[in-house]
Amino acid sequence: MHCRRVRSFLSAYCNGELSEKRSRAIADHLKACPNCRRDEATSRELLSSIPRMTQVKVSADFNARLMDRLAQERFSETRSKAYLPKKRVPVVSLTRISAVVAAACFVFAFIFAGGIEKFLTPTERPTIAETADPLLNDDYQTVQPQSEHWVFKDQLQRATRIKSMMQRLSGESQFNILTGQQTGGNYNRLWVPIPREFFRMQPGTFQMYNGTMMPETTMVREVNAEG
Amino acid sequence: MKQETEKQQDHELIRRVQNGDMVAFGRIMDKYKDRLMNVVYRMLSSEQEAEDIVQETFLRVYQHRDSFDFRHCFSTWIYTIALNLARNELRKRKRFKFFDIFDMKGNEQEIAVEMELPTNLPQALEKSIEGLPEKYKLAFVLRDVQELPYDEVAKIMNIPLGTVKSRVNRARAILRDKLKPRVEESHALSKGTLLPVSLL
Repeated sequence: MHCRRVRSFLSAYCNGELSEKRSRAIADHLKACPNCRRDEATSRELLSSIPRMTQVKVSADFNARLMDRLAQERFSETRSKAYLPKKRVPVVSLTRISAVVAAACFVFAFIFAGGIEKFLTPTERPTIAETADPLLNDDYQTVQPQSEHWVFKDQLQRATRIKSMMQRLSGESQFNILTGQQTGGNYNRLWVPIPREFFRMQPGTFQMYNGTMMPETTMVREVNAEG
Repeated sequence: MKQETEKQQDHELIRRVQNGDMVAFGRIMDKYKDRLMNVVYRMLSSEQEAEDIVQETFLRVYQHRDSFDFRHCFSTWIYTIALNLARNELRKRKRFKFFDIFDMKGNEQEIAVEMELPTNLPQALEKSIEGLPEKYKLAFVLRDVQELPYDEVAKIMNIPLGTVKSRVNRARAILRDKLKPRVEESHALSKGTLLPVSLL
């Protein structure tokens, strides 16, 4: 056997982990090789040093501390298994349901009470200053509402405004003026953003002004004869 | 045979713990606390942290006592828990590079005054073990220090038996090469040969 191969088996040989045949071969080699004998001596020396290494032990209060922790663990286990009702997490909490119901009631009350118009005084109504903007042309559309029940999923407020405005306009003595061309005069225009989709679905009788300034909305021109 | 007896004893103890017998758990604690401490300390090189890990190990054993699989050895199970916790700890903290005293240059005289005689091989061996790469260190500690059978070491480390033998062999070879000069010096000293301080 070569020295290199013997050295690879030396530690196992010193630990008695080799087969009898291999052990004999190594023993024979060691008889003739002083270098490998030195390595064997080192291996055996190390082997005998292992039990003499410091044996690290736990501290004196290890048991006491661990039993304390175990006692807490057992207490919490006992508590969970005892006749204590577990806190059930509701799928839908009462708080959440109450909030939703309250919000729904508020919205319906707002609609049936007349919408935002109720809360606006004439001075609060937004007015737009007269403009000589050449883009403002007389491109009107007429729409006919089919139903008073507007359905706007996310624009309920706008729908209430349109509805109240229609009611006012239909009772307006100057409504007929709107049906025709009007020029001049002082009037207040109430700008109401109304999605175009609405008019595709719900044509109405009031005149709408398609302003190019607000391409996504249309404005209702309200005429208050002043002066 | 002895191994089989020990395995049965452990199974009996854990079965009793499952039935609420805390005395049995105390016996498990007394049997394994120092063994685990020794292994975990060699991995972490910190007594305080090693003790925390061993405490946590027993706590986990208690918490998961009902999930113990009686097809396996209890010792394998508890060692695996301890070493997994130790590995997690090693991953968490930064490891400082261990300063190898054999590589010190310059203050030989000072070192010779402070350190013990080179014949203190066990201490030199301990320091050398600390410097081993982790996979070799763990295999060596479990096999040669804790004297666990090869197959159990393989199960604890979750590697093939051949790999365990290879790693243990490699660890022994590294330690032998590292400590060979020290061993030969101690033999020379014991024969009365004087050596200059600079060779220490």
